[in-house]
Amino acid sequence: MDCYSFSNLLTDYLDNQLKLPLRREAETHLRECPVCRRKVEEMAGLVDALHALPKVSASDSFEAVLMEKISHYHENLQHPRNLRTLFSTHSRTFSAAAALILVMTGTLVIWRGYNPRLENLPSAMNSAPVLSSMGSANTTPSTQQSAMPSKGHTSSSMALKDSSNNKNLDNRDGLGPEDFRNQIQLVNDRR
Amino acid sequence: MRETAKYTDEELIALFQKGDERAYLELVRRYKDRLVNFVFRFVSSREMAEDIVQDTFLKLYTSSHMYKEIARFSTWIYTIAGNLAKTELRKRKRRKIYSIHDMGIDDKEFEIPSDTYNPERESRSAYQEKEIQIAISRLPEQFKTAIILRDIQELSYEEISKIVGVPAGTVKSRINRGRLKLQEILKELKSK
Ligand SMILES: [Zn+2]
Repeated sequence: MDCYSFSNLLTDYLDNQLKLPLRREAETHLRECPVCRRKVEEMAGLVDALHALPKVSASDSFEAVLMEKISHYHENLQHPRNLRTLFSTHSRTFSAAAALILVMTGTLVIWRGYNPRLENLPSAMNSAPVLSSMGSANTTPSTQQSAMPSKGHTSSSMALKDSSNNKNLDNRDGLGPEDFRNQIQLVNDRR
Repeated sequence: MRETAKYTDEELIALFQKGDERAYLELVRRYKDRLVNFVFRFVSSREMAEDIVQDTFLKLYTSSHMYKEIARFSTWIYTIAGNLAKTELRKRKRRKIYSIHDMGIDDKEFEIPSDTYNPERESRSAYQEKEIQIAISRLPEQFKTAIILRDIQELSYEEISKIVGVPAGTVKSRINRGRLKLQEILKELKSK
């Protein structure tokens, strides 16, 4: 076995995933090769450091806060679309969004006035930071509970099924727009 | 011993699906610490990690009917927590991307939970916890997920493969590349 083949087996070697004949070959190479030995030592040190990281645990108030979130959920089931509460909790978001819409409408009107070709506008708008922060303002977990309606359970379950049961954590390599929407949907679906 | 403690996760969720809330609480108690640790390593903020894990359990509460026995409960709940954590990180990234500090997450944001700080352990290790946490946060998302699940949560390749939804071989290659990348980032941090 040469250094190149060994380096391909480094993870398997460290994680004890090598089957016997290959494991022997790797060990033989290690005995003869100080360079690879050093690589193994360094990597093993890193893995040990990761294992040794202190385990963070839930705080004492974790369950109490969770129960509060659940009772909020129940309350909102009983009083769906309680607009006043919804508005007061989200008033900042709403006014920011309203202002933004005004500005954008204004911009659009002006833009149209100056330049009749609008093809380029949508992509420019998608990348505008202010737009994305508006999108995320409603989805902040802590502000969500009061916005949960009683209906929409069906769409909620669909989204969950999509993202959790079938789609899993992976993004099929990269952040495709569709995938991105799914992620957002997973968080948004409680609204 | 709590009466519910004798059940498997899958039995518990079946009980909860039939309306037994004690079963729900047992699942929360079994998983809250692991999930908080997992999400904390992902988002580098304890408060945010708690919030995300509570939302994960809220999702379990409201959508337990979505769980089907084909998957292990742990796989399912890790997937939900991971998705919520990733969404949160992307939101943060989008907010940051146009800010003056265009260098990714500010180091000041990194929190080391004081109750877990252990100077003795720290001095034995070649790396400081904070350095490692910063390095993890700079990993590309797929590598980050693989490294946290494997080297911090210590899950098997098979389980990671199910959570992430890619073949075990792909998981292995991400762990391999993730560790190399982590080493590289740590070296950079040391040389500064
Ligand atoms: Zn060698």
